[in-house]
Amino acid sequence: MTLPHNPVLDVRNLGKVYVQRRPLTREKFTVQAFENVSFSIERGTTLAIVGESGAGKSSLARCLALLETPTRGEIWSNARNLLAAKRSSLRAIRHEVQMIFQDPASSLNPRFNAREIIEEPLLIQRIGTKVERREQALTLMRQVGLPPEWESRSPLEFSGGQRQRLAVARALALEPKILILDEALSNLDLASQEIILQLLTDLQKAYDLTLVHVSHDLWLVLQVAHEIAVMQNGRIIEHRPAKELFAHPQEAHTQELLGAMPLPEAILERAF
Amino acid sequence: MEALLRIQDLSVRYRTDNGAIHCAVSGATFEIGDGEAVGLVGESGCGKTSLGLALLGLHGDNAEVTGSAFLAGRDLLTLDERSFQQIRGAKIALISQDLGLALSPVLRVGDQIAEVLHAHSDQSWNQCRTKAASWLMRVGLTPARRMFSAFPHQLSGGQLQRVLLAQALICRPSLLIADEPTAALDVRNQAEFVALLSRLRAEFGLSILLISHAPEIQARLADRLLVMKDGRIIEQGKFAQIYQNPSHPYTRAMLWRSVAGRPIQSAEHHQLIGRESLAL
Repeated sequence: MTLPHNPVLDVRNLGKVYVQRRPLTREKFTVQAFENVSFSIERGTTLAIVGESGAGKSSLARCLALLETPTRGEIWSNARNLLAAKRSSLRAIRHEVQMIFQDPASSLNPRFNAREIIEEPLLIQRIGTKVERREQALTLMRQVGLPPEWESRSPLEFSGGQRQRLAVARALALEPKILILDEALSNLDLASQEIILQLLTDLQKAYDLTLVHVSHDLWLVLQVAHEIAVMQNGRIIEHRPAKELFAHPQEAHTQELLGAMPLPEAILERAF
Repeated sequence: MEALLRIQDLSVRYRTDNGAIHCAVSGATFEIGDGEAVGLVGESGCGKTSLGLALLGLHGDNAEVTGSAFLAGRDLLTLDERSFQQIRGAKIALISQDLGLALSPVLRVGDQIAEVLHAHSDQSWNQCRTKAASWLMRVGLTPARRMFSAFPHQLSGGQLQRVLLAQALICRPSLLIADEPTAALDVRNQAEFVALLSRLRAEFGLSILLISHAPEIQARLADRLLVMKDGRIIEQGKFAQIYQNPSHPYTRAMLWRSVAGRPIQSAEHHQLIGRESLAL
């Protein structure tokens, strides 16, 4: 039986070239961040994009979130090519895709309090009245497990795990269809990771949310991903269901990534 | 094993702006043996970094540190700033998590390594630079000449972390405090950095306080483990023992990864990566 193929995001031959200038000489040179990237994501599933630093993961994530414009290729969603859309219609599309960054200390404005941080996207999209926005912000805080009484605290007064929950609440404010996490959990301890992963899984079930994890941490990815795409030098070299990829990695680079950081058991057993 | 560092009842309290007192570390008591690597795990905000900074006298003016911390028979907490300067960098060194902030962007990395030795010895600037170049080779940054004259922005995260390690070890300290040294690195760089650190540790008989929330890193380096929660050390002992039989559910949450609430089982590792890892 084949499942109805209804990708929430269909990426075709995506490529990004950065044009930079050398210092002093101002001579132009180009950096190919990634090229010929194609994949599709089914609604309500989790895709992980893994690879070493410099593989082009973050550039790809930023292009998927429409924060940067790819130099070639197409991103289809709901039978629309997002890259061909007019700037004016992009605003409506943008709220469907939200991104959470690695370092919540620098991605959350310290001059805002917790509630203002969550409200800001609503304000930008001109949704609701002041009272409604506050109401929704407090509901979101509750949803991600932050006491609503903390609404007027600065993000600096939260611990790392709490800050990342705040970032999740902000990203969810616009009820996105797709949530992109760029190394969003790699700075957290395992217990905090676990709590946020559980939270995301619950939200995924409740809202049919599609998640894209960009990470170098294969163990973290194994915990949640349905499919894994491995990137190397700007290309996807292997893209398969997570269990299959872990059990039978095909590419040498994938095997290398899996073997680089074995779990403690493997090390302890070797020692005794 | 003779204790290099003996910490007794160490507490760190911060006065906040509104006059409240926040206790970051309370009553920490532990030892680090000569040549021993001790791991410190705990959730973010539990006081790990405060503990590390207090041992370096870098806790800031709004902190009050009590208790004692004897390094080779000398209580660090009674030292004034001037005596601390002689110890910091020379006897105890730090590598911190934030690669971007640790180095000056306008100086060549070789000079920044030489600078540390120059501050702590009476060797000439040229001698210090030669030593710095040899340390670049020791941490695997070759060709040393080109690396010496590179600026931080020209190096990758993995290379910068090696520069910091050379900077930390050039004075041959007896204790290295490594605060999340691999947090900014990808898996391959993590593995290489850990291998390098254990090699240098064996070569110099270095003691290490390894602050890291990654159990994979701790397993490879730490002989013993301290588990910290809300500023208190709630569990300490041999790594293998604590990992396999955590006496506190918090410890288990810190050390075990799980899939859908079920810990990733040993058998599963073998199936997943056992082949590669055991062949290492």
